[in-house]
Amino acid sequence: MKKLVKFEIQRSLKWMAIVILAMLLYYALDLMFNIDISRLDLGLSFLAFMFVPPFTILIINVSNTQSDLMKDTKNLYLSTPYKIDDYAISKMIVVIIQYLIIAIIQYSILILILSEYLVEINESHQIILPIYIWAVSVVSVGVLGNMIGVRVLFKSYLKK
Amino acid sequence: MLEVTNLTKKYSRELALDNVSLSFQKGVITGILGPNGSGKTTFMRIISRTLKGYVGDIKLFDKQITDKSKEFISFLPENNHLYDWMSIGKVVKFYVDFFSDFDIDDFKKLSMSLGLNDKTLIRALPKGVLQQFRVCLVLSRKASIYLLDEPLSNIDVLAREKIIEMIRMTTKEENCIIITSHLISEIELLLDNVCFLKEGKLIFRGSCDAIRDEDSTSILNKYKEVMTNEEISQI
Repeated sequence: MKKLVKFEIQRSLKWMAIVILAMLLYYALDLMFNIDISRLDLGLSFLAFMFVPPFTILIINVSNTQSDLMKDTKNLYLSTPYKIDDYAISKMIVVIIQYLIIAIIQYSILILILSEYLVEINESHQIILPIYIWAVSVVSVGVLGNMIGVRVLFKSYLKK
Repeated sequence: MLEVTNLTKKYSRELALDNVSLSFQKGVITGILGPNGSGKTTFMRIISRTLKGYVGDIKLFDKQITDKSKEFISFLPENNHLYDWMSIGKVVKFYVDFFSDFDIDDFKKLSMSLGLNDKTLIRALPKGVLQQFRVCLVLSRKASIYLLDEPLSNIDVLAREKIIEMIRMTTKEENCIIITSHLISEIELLLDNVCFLKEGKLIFRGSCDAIRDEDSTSILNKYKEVMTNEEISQI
């Protein structure tokens, strides 16, 4: 199982790098144009920053799994001595690692952007609710979505 | 060693395998021959556990086949199954990591004549070299069953000869090799037994020696004869 997880991480590095770069680009743009994403009246920008990366990961993981299963390389992957559940679980572990990395980067950027703002107006409680919503909805939907999506794809493919 | 009983597989409404029953013994090379679309690849994929959703019974060492059986089965799919973004070194490492029976010394022996460079990417390999490399990888496992799906297709004569030699080197008393091919004349001297499939049905099975001795004909001629007369026969 450890080997499968390692292999999945190796395969997902490219996409993870793109998502992380996109988040850093967002922060750079924020600095350049001085957009205060902590203000909830700029909701669209805030929501995009919080929700787009995890959902991008969800879409990438599920679509990559599907395209993998359409290619001849599936015969190498599926001939390794594991059960279907092992493949799905290994992908899940990688998804959780990806979500943790995204969360750490998102919070780091948010803290950097918010630090000055929070000191000035002392309204840190304003960000607790959206972060709570993010934690519950994005992580659970994302992780469950990956789990269900990936597993369904494997099961349905093998019956074709 | 491997017993397949009444194996049937449908893709939607299309019948890919129709009640196929076969048995495979240790130390024997069996050729599954038939035209395109006869169910050869489907049969190989079911045995290799890369395809499910079939009806029938498959037993390996008298036990029902499961995902764990993949430890004993080394499968060469028809088309390139290696990730083209990987280098040769990475592919070999993949095999070492994932298949505990992979013998690196055997691999070196088999691949010596290919002059492979570890850093070369799979996508950069010429077709014939890639096919030989794939065969080397699959045959370097100490598996009980080798499933080789069209190992000789789309390559030149010299590469074919090398692959046939590699298969000969791997044949041992304790393993069984199953080969599918439509290049009968190229492969017939390698085979001990043959099965002919047509439209998912097993229409003939028998020993190559019996065909040559009793029928005084080549496997290719027998194949032509049987394919034009669909009655199920057996030697």
